[in-house]
Amino acid sequence: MDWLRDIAMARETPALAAFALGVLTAVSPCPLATNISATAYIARELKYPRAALVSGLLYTLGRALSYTLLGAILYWGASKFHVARFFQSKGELFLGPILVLLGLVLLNVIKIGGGTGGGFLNKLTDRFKDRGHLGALVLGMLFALAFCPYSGALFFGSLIPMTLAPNGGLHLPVIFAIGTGLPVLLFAGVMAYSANQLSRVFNAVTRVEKVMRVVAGVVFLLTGLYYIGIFAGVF
Amino acid sequence: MKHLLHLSVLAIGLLFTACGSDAQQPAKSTPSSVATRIDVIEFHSEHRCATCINIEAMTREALNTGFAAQMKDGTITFRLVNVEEEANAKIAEEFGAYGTALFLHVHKNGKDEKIDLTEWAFMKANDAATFKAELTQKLRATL
Repeated sequence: MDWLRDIAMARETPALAAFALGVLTAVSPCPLATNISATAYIARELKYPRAALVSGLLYTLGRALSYTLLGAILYWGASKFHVARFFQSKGELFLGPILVLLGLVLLNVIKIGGGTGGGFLNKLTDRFKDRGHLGALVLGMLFALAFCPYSGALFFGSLIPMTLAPNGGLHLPVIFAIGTGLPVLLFAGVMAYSANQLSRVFNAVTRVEKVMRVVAGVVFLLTGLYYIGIFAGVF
Repeated sequence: MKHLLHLSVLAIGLLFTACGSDAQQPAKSTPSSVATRIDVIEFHSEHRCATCINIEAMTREALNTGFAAQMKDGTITFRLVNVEEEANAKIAEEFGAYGTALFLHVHKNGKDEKIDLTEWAFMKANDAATFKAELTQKLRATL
């Protein structure tokens, strides 16, 4: 990993450095938890491994949208100090409960919107559970904004100064996002493909898919509790 | 006539420049009464990550082992600042520290310099030996 850190610190090749920073962010403890959740969510679409790949790409696109938006706000002159402080101190606070809620939705424990069908929220949660594309995009956007001290330091302390530098530009947050989303894309693809092959052998695609959804729900729940734990000072 | 005007403007300009540099001379030549001091400051948010706590531990260790004498006579100091505490809002903004950040605040020859080591600290945090050796090197170069 040292070579990756060296690349991340090389200012003469900003695009490569932005990508390396993204990969370092993806595997750092706090974003890793969100990335595992995203992997579990995306990989559950094993009936069509190609759909998992599209979801993985949309998840990465979601991250890119958030990072580029933040980069643009700072590019146009917003105070890095105030923006960074807002996101860094509130990340875990917002993310924990949201993840727990999504976990419970995936596990069918709660139904947001109440009542039987019809409601906008109901439709939205059904879409989130059954079709991963839109959900993956939103997850990407949401997870990107959940900065922890480490990922915050890499984004605001390393990537943003590079973006604002004369040889930088707003393409760097996009490259950074690809770096943060790449592990999810790879693992989700491999998991969905192998689970698909395995369940085909045992002729149990639907059953395995149900299990995968429960796994995704549990992972969301645990990640949410982990974030709440961080905020409460347990970890 | 035009040339004459240009020449006069140039002469007046030179006169002002000369006066300016004369005026600055005393400040430059005055020897500083303040001795070199380095304040090592680690900023942090309320909720600290494992890496952030690790950075503090390694910094303290490097200071205590390599600069015990300077820590004792106050040439080097270490300070931990919570950026979310209202009392620290001013210093956090002054350094642009929004979360975990590591700075060397160097007071030398009557001048203040802020050296931001945050990115370096995060990149080296996983390797304690390199972190401590390089921090010691940076401090020695600054002293």
